[in-house]
Amino acid sequence: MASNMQKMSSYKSQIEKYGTPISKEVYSELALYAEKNHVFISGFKDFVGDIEVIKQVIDDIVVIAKDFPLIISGKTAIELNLDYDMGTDFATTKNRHIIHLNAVYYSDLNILNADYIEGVAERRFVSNTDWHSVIKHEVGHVVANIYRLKPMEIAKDVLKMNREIQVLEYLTDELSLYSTELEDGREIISEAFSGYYGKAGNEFADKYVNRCIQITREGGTR
Amino acid sequence: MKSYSEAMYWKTNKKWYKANYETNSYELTKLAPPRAIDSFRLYLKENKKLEATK
Repeated sequence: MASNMQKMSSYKSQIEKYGTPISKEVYSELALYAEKNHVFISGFKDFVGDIEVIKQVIDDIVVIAKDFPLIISGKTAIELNLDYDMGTDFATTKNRHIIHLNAVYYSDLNILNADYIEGVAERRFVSNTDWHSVIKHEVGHVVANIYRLKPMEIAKDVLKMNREIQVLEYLTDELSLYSTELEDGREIISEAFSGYYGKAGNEFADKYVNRCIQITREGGTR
Repeated sequence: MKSYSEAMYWKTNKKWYKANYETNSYELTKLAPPRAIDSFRLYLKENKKLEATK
C-alpha cells in the first residue's frame, strides 16, 4: 500500500536522525548475550536502537525453545539478522531458520508497537498480543520448517474439520485474518504461536500449539 | 510478518465475500467494492504462486 511505504520512508528518516550506531562494547554485550542463549546474530554492528529490545527478542526465543529445543541447537539454531531493506514487513524468515528483523521497526519500539497494535485493533493479528508476538510468529515458521510440521493438517486435526475452507472460515473469526492469508496454512502455526506464547487466552492457539508440542515430542512430523 | 497486507482487505467485511464449501474456495459477492476486488486478485495471485512452488 502506497501510504504504508510513505510511512516507512518517514520512519527511515527518523531512524537516520538517531545517528550513532552502538559502541563496540555495547555490541559485544549483545553478542555475548546472544551466544549465551545459543542464538546467532548478524548485522547488528550498525544498530542504532536499544539492545535491551533485542535481548527481549532473544528471551522470547528461549522461552519457545523449552518446547522446541532444535531451534537453538546446532545447524538449525535461529539466526537473527538485522535487515535495513524490508519495506513494510516487521520481520521475515528465510532459509528455514534465519529471521530477518526490520531495522527500522526494531530501532524504535514505539513505531513497532504502534503499528502492531493497529493490526490487533483491525483483527489482522491475534487479540491481546503485543510487539513481542512478531518474533513469536516468526519462530512458529522456524519450528514448522525444522520439525517439518504440516500446519494445515494439524489445524484440521485439532478442529476435526475435513476441508481447508472450513478451517480458514473458523480462523477468520477465532484467531486472526493474517492466519488465513495463505491457503496452505503456513500462517496458522505462526499466528497460533503468537497467541499461545503471547498468553492471549486464545482457545484455538492453546490447543494448536499443545498439539504441535505433542507431535514433536512423539517424534512425528504430521 | 507483514505489518499490513492489502491481499486481505477483501476479508475485512463479511458482506463482501462468501465461502463456497463445494469448491473449497472463497468468492466475492456483488457488494464488494473495487478495492476489495483488487485485494482479492492479490490474494488469489499470492496463493497461486504458493501452489506453483509445491
